[in-house]
Amino acid sequence: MITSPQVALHDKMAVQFKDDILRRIVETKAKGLVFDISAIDIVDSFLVRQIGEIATAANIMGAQVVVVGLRPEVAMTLVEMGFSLKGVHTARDLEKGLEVLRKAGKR
Amino acid sequence: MEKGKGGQSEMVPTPIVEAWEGIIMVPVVGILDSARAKQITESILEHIARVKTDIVIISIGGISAVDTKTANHLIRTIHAAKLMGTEAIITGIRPDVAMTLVSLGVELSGIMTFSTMHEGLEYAFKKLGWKVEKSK
Amino acid sequence: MAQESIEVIEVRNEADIVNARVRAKAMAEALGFSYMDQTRIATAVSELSRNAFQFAGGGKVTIMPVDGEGRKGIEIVVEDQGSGIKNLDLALKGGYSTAGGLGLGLSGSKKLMDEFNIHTEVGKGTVVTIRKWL
Repeated sequence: MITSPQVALHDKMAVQFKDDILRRIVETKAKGLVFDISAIDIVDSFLVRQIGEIATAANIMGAQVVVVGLRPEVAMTLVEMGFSLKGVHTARDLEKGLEVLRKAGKR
Repeated sequence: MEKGKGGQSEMVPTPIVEAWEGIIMVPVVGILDSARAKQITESILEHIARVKTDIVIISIGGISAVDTKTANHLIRTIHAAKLMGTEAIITGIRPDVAMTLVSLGVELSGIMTFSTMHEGLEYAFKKLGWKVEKSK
Repeated sequence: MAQESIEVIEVRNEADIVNARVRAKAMAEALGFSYMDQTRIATAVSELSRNAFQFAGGGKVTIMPVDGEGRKGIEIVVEDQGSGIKNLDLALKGGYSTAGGLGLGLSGSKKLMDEFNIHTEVGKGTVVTIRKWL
């Protein structure tokens, strides 16, 4: 299962998005979720928390989450603020992301 | 170009050298001040966003001076690259220098560091599945 | 040539948080900040305005260019009339994280900016001033 927020995720949308995704995971019994954030230019602690919550819930439902497409500025800001995307794999792009999911699924 | 006191470090931007499929090298020489560190960060991250890169070899053997703040900035760049799916390693860092950095509070854990470019290349090739053989 | 002027944004809802960071980013760009710095500035503004919204019911964000010792920069003031921060030290250390972000936002913003000043009074409110220089 693949998801790709093509527009910048504005806050209320992010929560709505999270609920939608979790429901879709249950419905499709998805084993993996690729979260493409290449269209997002600012990631603050709120968004990091939403992503973390998606990952935690997805893991409980047996699905792995990988975030791909972090922009340079987003990656650097996250590191500088000291946020860790714990429980969330990251990868360069969709192709690598699927590879990561495959390896994670084998464990 | 930013105005600065150090003549050498502002003159030539540190290049990104495409060394092999998926491997780039960044040869850092001279004084690593914060302006240069910023430039290196932006070059590396912009490059790996544009070009599929598996490994960045940051060669720091030629650095004459660096302060802990700048060293930490470089470390954060390495972590940012990791989030973007690229492993950045450091070469030209002798064990005693590594220990000094650690004692100064520079967080090297989780980052591969090597004394020589040779070791760094060896690691990179091995990780990416390349084998170097001498032809008879 | 257009002059960058002072911008004031009232933060009353989630959309205002987004607007505040978009405006901050735009002014940073107009002032000549690198894309990296624009993102740092916008992210810090997002954190601080969200704190004001979440913990004080709203606030005011003022964005302006500044001059200091021959260099130019950007200054943002985020003020609210909430109940103030009881344990500022803890909040700045990244504590209060269980409360959902106050500490994370404050300590995170501090790391992203060149200057960070906070004045808080229990029962009165909080004023955070941040600056970044070119």
